[in-house]
Amino acid sequence: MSRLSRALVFLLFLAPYVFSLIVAQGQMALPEGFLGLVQNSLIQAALSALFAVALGVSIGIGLLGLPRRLRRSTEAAVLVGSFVPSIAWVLMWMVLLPNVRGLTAIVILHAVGASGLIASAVVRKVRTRWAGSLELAMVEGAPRGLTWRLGLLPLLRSDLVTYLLTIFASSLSSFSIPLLMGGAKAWTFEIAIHQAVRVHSAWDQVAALTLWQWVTLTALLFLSRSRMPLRAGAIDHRESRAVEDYGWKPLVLLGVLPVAAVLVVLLSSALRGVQQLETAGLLIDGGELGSALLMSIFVAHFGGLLTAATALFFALSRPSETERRLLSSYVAPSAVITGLMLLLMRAESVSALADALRISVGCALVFAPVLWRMRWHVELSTLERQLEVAEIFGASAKMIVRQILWPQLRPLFYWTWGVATFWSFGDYAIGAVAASRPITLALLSRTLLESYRLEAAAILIAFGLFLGFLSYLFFSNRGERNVGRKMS
Amino acid sequence: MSVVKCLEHDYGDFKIAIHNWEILDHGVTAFLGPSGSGKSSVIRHLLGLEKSDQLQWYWTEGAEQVDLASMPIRDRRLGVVFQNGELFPHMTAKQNIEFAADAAVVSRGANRSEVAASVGRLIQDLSLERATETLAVNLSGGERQRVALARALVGRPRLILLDEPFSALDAELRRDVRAMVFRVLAEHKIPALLVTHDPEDLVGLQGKLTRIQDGRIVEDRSMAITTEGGRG
Repeated sequence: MSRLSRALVFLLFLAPYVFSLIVAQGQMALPEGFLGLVQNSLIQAALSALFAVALGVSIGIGLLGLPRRLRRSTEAAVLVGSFVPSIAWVLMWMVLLPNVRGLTAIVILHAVGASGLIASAVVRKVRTRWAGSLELAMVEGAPRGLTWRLGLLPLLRSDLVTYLLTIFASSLSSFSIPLLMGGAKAWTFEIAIHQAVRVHSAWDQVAALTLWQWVTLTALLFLSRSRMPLRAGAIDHRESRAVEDYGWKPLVLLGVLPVAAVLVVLLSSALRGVQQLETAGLLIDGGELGSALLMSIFVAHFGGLLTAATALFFALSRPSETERRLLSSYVAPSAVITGLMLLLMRAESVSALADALRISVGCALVFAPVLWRMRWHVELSTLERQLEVAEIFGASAKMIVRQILWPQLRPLFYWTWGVATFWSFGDYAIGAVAASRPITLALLSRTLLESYRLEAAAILIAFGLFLGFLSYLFFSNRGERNVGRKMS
Repeated sequence: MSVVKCLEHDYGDFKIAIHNWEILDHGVTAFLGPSGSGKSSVIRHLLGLEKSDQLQWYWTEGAEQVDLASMPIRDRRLGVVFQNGELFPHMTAKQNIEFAADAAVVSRGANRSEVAASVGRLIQDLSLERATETLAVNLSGGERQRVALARALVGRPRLILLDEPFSALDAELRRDVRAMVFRVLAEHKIPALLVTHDPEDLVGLQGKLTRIQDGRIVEDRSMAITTEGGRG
């Protein structure tokens, strides 16, 4: 039964790829200028990865230089940038640098978006693994630059390669940022797939590009995951002064400033938009706006629930270590293909509710593998020994699920629901393909952004993200509260 | 007496090869060896956590002989205490023990009232009265190992496997917990396979001693009451 459940999850994630092959009737053809596309994509992904890692490590060094309390709050602020949906970054860029598009915009936005997570990982690694070595370096009087160059960076090399491969893979298949910032040129395979469908209706090209992208990304991520040990060694939880001495505070600005810019631009544009409302209005019908608000709430929460339920379903089916690694290596299915699959599956259902359901399912298919890779994979590995012990004592599968797995995975389930809800509130990429018309706040925002009504777009983006953040807080607290009740 | 046969596993750079090994079905069988000699791998094979196609483990119960190696993990009726206890961190000490009691009732058909009574008795025998409502994550090292022992004993296993159960404890605590563990095992008449790298753990024990080195048994003999250094 559990083997069947696991197979179902894998089939679900593979469905978009299988779908594209079926629609293409097994025909495959590489598009004209394929080599140019490969070259563009590789350059874009390589630059994004290099820039993200360099920026992430620099911010990490900055965070390490801060005293404990300030470090925690600043780290949280820097992480905001990695969780804020792309639409907020795009808005900031269009307001501050309206004439810069193409490769530069894509690379910088990819890099600043990913740098917070890298910085946080670097801080955790240095603090918990090498605080003792830094104390020794401090006693011996080793200077900061030398310690990083000859000590810490070589120690971090394996992690840095993993980050490089992960960011490279995600930049190669990025869709939402290149869709609005890339101009006419395809800088990623996803955009090429989108163009093949929307401009040429060439399904044989879609099938070939999809297969190429899927094989490349899975190989890259499997390589990066297989480098990562699941059971780490001893962790040092002390707060060492030496760590602070070997950080360099000013670098933290590299992480804080872009996040501050996003928030300031978003809020100031939204405020300007509110002031303009009296004279110009939103140019959106009030009924349409109300309906978009309701649809956004439905799409985001249902999409979030489906995402969390998919991850939980897979976790409860007791995947083996190889299966967990496989899913963790698996990159999210192509947003374009997922959207098209959902759009074409029941093409006659053109009601707003059908569109909303399509976006929710699409969000779940795309977000579940990402969030699995982010937290579920490691969390499940740490429970492995407990499951072995329970089985030795003769516990039934039902007991293991109800008494061991669910109580300990519950906070993660709610966290996943919260994050996926937040992201779904900001999604315009899947919605742009899966829905027949702009039915959510994010989709309306995209329409406004494309017509350069930035202030009006900012109002909708800010409102959507505010609702998303409230939902995230609600679900995170719910997960924590349940744990607290059990433990008290 | 139980007999383990054909335990072979090739890990590439390390190989386990045990062709015939007797484990006592009463008292203590000590399994001694330095770190990296393959002790824990052998235990994982006996528990069924790692697979070895040829392995046979015959256990005699009255006139009947069963091959434990051919059974699924949960049907082997074994108990285990690992180095760090491996308690369920979200449960209290008592809930940990009750979980194993419920498992024995559900999957092994143990008598519910007998198992419930033995939960109380084990808590008393292992002096855990003051820790019952404490979350596992908040227990001290000694308490954690005693709860792990109670959890392993409550289902009345055929054999309890103690995998370096004292090595995470400091010297004084180690002596106290060790004495208590062997007293309770003797009182409950449950045979134990004690895995250790430290001959000190064998002081005061009687039974059988097996030494392992590089995945192979290099010494296998009876063990008289020892006073120091594990030499009987």
